[in-house]
Order: sequence, then C-alpha cells, then structure tokens
Amino acid sequence: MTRIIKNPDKVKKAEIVVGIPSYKERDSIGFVVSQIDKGLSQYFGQKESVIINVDNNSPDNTGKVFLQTKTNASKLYISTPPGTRGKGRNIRNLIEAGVELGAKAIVMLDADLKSITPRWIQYLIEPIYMGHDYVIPIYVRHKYDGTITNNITYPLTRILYGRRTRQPIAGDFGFSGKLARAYLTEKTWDENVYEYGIDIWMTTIAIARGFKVCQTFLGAPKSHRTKDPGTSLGPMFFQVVGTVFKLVVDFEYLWKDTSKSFPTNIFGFGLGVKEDPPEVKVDSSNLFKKFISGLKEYRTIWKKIIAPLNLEELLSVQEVSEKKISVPADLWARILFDYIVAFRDKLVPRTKLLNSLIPIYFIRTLGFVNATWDMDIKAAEDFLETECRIMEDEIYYLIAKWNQTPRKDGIPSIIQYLEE
Amino acid sequence: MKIDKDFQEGVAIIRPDEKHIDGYMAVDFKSKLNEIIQNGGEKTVIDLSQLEFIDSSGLGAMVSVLKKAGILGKVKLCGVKDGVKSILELTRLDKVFPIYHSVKEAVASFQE
Repeated sequence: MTRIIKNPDKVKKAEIVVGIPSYKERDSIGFVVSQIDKGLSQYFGQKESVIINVDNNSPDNTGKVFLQTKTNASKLYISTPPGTRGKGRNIRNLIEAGVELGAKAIVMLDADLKSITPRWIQYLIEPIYMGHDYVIPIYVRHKYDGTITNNITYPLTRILYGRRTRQPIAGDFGFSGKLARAYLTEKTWDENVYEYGIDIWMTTIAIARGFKVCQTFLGAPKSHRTKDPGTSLGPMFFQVVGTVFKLVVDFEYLWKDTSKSFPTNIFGFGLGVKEDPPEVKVDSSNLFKKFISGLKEYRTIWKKIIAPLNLEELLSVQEVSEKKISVPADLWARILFDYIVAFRDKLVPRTKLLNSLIPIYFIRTLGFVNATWDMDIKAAEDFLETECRIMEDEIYYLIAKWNQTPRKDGIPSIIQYLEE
Repeated sequence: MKIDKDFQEGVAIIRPDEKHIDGYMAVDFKSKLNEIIQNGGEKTVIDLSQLEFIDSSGLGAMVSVLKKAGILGKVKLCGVKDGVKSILELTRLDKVFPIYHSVKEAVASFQE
C-alpha cells in the first residue's frame, strides 16, 4: 500500500511506538498527543520513543495539528493515499512502521479520547515489558455504552475462544513487536479488517495464535464520543460482526474444542479515579420501532437463516409491552449461531445477512436496557456476566448445526453427517 | 409428530415415534415435551430408541425442556443409537443428559 510519510525528526528506530489512528480529528488530537508525550517522558524517559499519527489523509489538517503539537518524543506522520479510508489501513501502517523501526512495544490510542492520562501509557506498555504480547484495557463504561461489545464481541470471544476479555474492541491496545510481526504474516486480512473490523481481528488473532494476553485496569472511564445505541450503526456493525463471523469460519478447529471460558489476567489495580462515565441516553421506543420495521423487511430472510424453533421464540418476544420485552440470552446465542452457519453457507448474500441481524440486535439491546434499567453499573455488569454464562451453555447448538450437512431437500442427512 | 407417553414408577417415559427430529419438527417436539413435563413429568426419561438423527434444533428442544425441568438429572435419555450418541458426544451434551441403555435402567436410576 502506498504511504505518505512526513518524518521531520528523521526517526529511523524506536523501542516504543505509540500510534494514533485518525480521520478528521483536528480538534481532539492535540490533547491526546500531549498526554501520550507526558506519559512517555514520565515513565519511559530512557527509552527511544516515537509518536505516530496514522491518518486517512484528513482534509481538516489533522496531520498538521499533530506535527505542530510540541513534544519531547519524536513524531512521525504516515497517511494512506487521498481517498483511501479505514481504521484498519491506518493500523496496518502503524504495525508496519513499528516492525520497520524495530519496536519492542507498540500502543494504539483513539484520537478522540478525552479521558486519557499519562498513566494510560504506563499501564498499556509495562505489561509488555513484563512478558505479555497483547494488552487490552478495562475501563468503566456506562452500562449502555458499547452495546456491540456487550451483546456480540464480548460473549462470542468468551464462547468461541474461551477467554474473557471485557473490551475486545476497545480500540486502545498495547502489543509486542513479536505480535506485530505475526500480524503482518496473517492471511486473514480482508476488506472488513482494513476498516472497523481491525479491533476484534487483533484481539482474536492474539488469542487464537496463543500469544500472552492480559488486561490492564485503566480505572478511569473511557470518555469519547458516545451515542444512543439505537441510532444509525453505520458501517461499523457490518464490519465488526462480519469480521467476527469470518474468523469463526477460519478458526473452526479452535472453538470446537472450547468447553468453557477462563478469566484473563489483569495488570494493575486501577488508577484510583472515581468518576462516573458519561451517560448514554437510550431511546427505547426507537429500538422497538426498528425491530418492527425490520420484521417487515427481513421476515423472509429470517426464515431462511433462523431455525423455526428460534424464530418462533423471537417473534413471540413482542407480545408483551415494550417495557417488558426481553430476548433471553440462550435464544440470542442460538440466533447468533444460526447467523454464523448461514454466513458460512452464504444462505443469503452476506451484506443482506448482516443487515438483517441489526433489528434483532436492536430488540436484544432493548431487552438488556429493560432488564438493567434500575441497575447501577456494577449490577449491570453482574447481570451481563450471568447472561454470558447462559450463552456459553449453548455452544452445543453451534457445534451440532455446524456439522449438519443439508441434503438437497433441506433435511440433514445422518449418513452425510457420519461421513464427515 | 407422534410421541408415545407412559408412566413407570412415577417416571414419565416419552418416546418420540420418529426417525428424524430436525428443524421442521422441533417446534412441535418442544411444545409436546413441555406439555408432558408440566403435567407431572418431574422425573422424565426420553426414550430415543426410534431415533436415527437429531439436529441442532431437536437438541435445542431437549435442552430447553431440561432447563424447564429445573435440576440437572431430572431428564434422562435411553435407547440412544450410535449416530445420535455421536452427536450428543460431539456437542458435549452427553455430560448434561445422563444416558442409559434401556428404559428399565433409566427408571431404576431415579430410585438410587
């Protein structure tokens, strides 16, 4: 991939690389750069470090603001060519730069972070010097911030790969030079990975390839731009969920042997910050309306994808009042598994398949909102933990469905099954 | 779908009279199993001796009934043919449902 490089400090090597992926972040990147620089000076002053802005050629001068921000650490600007977008492309450039510079530790941090402090740098890098290869943050989030994480990526990472990593698509990660080299040799880079699929891809690869993974307790809430989970999901849902499903196909040999999940080591004890995360307002009626309109639009597709028993149960959830709606965790798991198998078999075009899941995801989110409405963050976390355990128990369904070989008339054949 | 019902020593015996239980039958299978469990089948044996194939939906129906029955071990299986047994083993459901050779053995296990 062609890269546009600005290297005013003539950086040729670095032990620590901190990357900031961006697109049009002129107003926020300066603060993030300053906090990173303070962290590098304070905790890793003796190490050769560089801050890299990996950008999608932002037309708002993000790169200029980045390079003009005063820092002790060297700076490097790398951009994709004009017109080429995608967070994953920026991260690919960061990983390549990290490997070329001979980095031992690489960190990536979102450019819109408002709550980052210098200690974040210490907490993301130190575990790597202690022998870990991949560091995932844990931070306090509002119970309705990160609904794709809570409903899809977190439970599926647990169920499929047996690791409990609470924020698998956090976006802010630390990783070793060894893992960076492994990322570059992976064959599973695809269009979704070059976009927002990158975060779950990195986490899954680190776990699936047996690298040493840990979590780091940043304590302070992640404060960035949040939005109502019922607003337009944009391409993010498609890219993240598409990547998760694709990796299930790639790593079949792994998840079939996963019988239960295990906790992942946590580094540190938090930073002692007792702040409430920014509130995320939810328009429950909107979530319900989107399910109902989805029902009209996708009913035929749902019939193709979702097993009759599960579809009947799904359709019955709307028979109670909006405030009492619940999509049980076991049903949600089986529906996700129906989708995964349909994705593998390309029962319907994959774009349509993923779009048809969105209204079901909305009604599941509404059920989560209803169940946790009166709960504080801790109680909502406990509730989610119970939900995940119930979902883990449904793995039998995925294994059985995965191994069914449909006959031409659609009825699974025992003979074909036994021949596998 | 046809399901035969019987009681022996306070244990409900359910015998699906089908060779295949798949997605098309699972809804019916589940509702009939539920009906039996709710009407006194606290201790239940599902006799699968007629069954040659069960798919993910059929397994889903059985697991759902198991959950309704409440405590692990209240629903037991018997007469499981090799093809079905391999599915139960593959999906690790053999660890969830106790499996016995015959109805007699399964019923007797409730007295232990």
